[in-house]
Amino acid sequence: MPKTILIVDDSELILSMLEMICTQLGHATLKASDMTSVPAIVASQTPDVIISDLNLPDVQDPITALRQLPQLAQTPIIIVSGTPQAELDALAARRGAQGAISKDAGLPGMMMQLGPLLDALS
Amino acid sequence: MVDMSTQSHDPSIEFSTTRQRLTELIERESELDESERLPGLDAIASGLEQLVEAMEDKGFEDETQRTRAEVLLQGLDAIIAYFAPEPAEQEAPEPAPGAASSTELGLEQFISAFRNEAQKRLSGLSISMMGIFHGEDTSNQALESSAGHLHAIRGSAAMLNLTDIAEISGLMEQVLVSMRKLDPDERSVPTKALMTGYKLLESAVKDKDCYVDPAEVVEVLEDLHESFEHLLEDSSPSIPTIEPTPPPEPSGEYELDLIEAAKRAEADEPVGYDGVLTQTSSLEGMEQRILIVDDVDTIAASVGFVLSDLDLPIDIASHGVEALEMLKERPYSLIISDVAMPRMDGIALTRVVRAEQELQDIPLILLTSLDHPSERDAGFDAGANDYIIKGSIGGGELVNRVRELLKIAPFVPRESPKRKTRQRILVAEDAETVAASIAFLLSAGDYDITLTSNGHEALTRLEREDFDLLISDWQMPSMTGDELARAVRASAHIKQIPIILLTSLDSDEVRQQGREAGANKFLVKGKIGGGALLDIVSELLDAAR
Repeated sequence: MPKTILIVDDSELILSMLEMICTQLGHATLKASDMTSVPAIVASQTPDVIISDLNLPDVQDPITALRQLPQLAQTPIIIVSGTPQAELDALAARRGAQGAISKDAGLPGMMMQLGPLLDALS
Repeated sequence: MVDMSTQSHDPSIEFSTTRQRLTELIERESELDESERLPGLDAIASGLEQLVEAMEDKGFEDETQRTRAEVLLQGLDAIIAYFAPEPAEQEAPEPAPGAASSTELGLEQFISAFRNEAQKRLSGLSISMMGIFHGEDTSNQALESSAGHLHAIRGSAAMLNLTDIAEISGLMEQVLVSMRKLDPDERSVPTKALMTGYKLLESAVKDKDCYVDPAEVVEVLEDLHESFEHLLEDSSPSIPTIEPTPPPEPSGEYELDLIEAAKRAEADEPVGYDGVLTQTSSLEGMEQRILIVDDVDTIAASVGFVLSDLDLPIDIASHGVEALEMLKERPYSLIISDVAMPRMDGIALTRVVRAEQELQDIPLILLTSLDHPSERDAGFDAGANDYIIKGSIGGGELVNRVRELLKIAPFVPRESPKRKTRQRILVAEDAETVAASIAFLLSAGDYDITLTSNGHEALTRLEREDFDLLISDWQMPSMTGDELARAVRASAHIKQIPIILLTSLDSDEVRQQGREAGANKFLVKGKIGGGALLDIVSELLDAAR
C-alpha cells in the first residue's frame, strides 16, 4: 500500500536520491532539508514513515527532536547514515528507531532494503 | 583553482612554490569586481602581501611549518574561489529528478549533482582545516567541522557506488576524529596525509566521471592508514596510552642515588619533612604521595585516575615551574612528568630535581609523546628513571611500573583527611577519558563517584539509588544532558538533586536551554579547572543539605 514518507536530510543530493527510491517503490514523499522546517510540513500532512539522516547540523538527536512533535510521536522512523550497517542497526535500537539503512549499500542496495522495510512498517 | 600539488620535497622548491601560490591568490583577489571585494577579503589579501614580503628571505624551517602553510593556502584558495568561481565545465542538460526512468539514468544525473555538492564540501573542508593549528577549542571545532564535511561526501559517494571516493573520505574522517586525541601542536603529521587525500578528492570531483587513478588511491590510502594506525597507537579509550618500552636505563650517577636511597630506607633513618626527604621503614604516620605534571588537564587527570588504583594521594601541576613550587611546599614520593610543556619542560624539571639535594631522591618518570631515541637519551641523561611513550600500554602496566619505583621512593608525613563524610555523585558522560578526568578531579573532594555512559542509564540509577549530585555531559547519544535534566526535574523522587551540565558548546542559546532544563550550574569544558569544579560541587551540596 502506498505510503507518504517524510525524508529529512540536509543534503539536497541525498534528498533527491531518497526521493527517487521512494517514488520508484510507489510511495509519495515530503522533503525537509532541516529540522526547523519539519513542523510546518507535517502540520498539513502527517507522514506514515520518516526517513531521517542521523547527522543534521541544527539538531543533536534527530529522533528525539522528531518524537517531540505530537504528530510524529508514534510515526516509525528509519535512520539513514554513512555508518556501517551493523553499527547503524545497534544505533537504531538504542535510539528507538524502527529501522536503519546504511548508505554503504549504494542506491540499488538501499532500494532493495527499503522496499521490504517500508512494507513491514504500518 | 590554483594548482596545490607539491611533488618535490626540496625545501627551496616548496618555498618558492608556496610564494608563487600566494602571489597568484593576491592577483585573483585584485581581479574581483568591486561588489565582490568585501573588506574582510581585502584584509586577507593585504595579509597575503605581507606574508610574501616576509617570505622573501625565509624558507620553511621544518615540515610542520610547510604543512601549516599548505593548509592555509588551501583554505584561502577556497575562500577566493567562493567569490570568483572558475567557469564550470559545459555539460549536457540534466533531466528533472522525477523524470528518471532507470537507475542508470538517475546515477548519471546524481553524479553530476554529487560533484557540485562535493566541491562545496571540499571548499568548506579546506576552510575548516585552517583552524586545526589554533588553540585547543578552535582546533577541536575545526576537526569536528572537517569530519562533518567528509562524512557527507562519504555518504553520498557510497550511495552512488563511488567506492574510491567513499573509502578515501571515510578514512580521512576517521583520521580527523582520532586527531582529537593529540595536542594541537602535534596535529601536523596526520594533517599532511589529509592534504594528500584532499588533493585526490579535489581532482576526482573535478572529473566528469569522478575518475580516480587507482595507483594514486592506493598511495593515499596507505598514507591515511599509516596515519590512522599511528593515531590509534597514540590513544586509548580511557587513559593516555603508553607504548611498551625497554627497561629503564637510568644514568649511572642517578642509579647510584637510588641505590643510596634504598640503602637509607633499609637503615631506617628518622622520618619527617624538614626540607630533606628521608627513606624509612618505619611507616607510622607516613604515606607516599605522587605529583603528576602535565599541561593538558585531561591527560593529567586521566593518569591520576589510572593511578587511583594505588590509593595514594595525587596532586597535579601544569608545568615545571608550578611543579617546583609544589615540591617546595609539600614533600612528594614520585613525580610523573610530561616533557613538552610551557614555561619549564620535563627535561629541565628533571635536571632541577636531580640538582636539588632535598629532591634528588624522588624517582621521576617522563611520560611523553616524543618518541625519538635522542629525546629518550636526553630524558635519561637528565636523570629520569623511566621514559614512557604515551601510546599503547594499558593502565595496569603504568600502575605496575609506578609501583616498582615506589618501592625505592621516599615516604612523606601523612596528611589528615579533609572530609569525614562521603557524598555520592553520579557522572553521566559518554567519552570515557572525560568521565575519568571528572572522576579524578572529584576524587580530591573525597566523594563516591559513579560513572555512567549515557542519559538513560544515569536516569535509571538516579531513580534506583541515592545520589547527592548529578554531573552530566550535554552531548550524549540516546539522551542528551538537557533531556536528562528535564527528566530528573519531572521525577517526583529525584527532582531536588543538584545538576551540573558540562558542555563544549559555549553559547548563550545553549546556556538558556540548560537553565530551562533545570540545571543549577552550566560549565564549559576546558574553561574550568579541577579546583573550581570542586568548589562548585561543594557549594551545591552544601546548599542542598
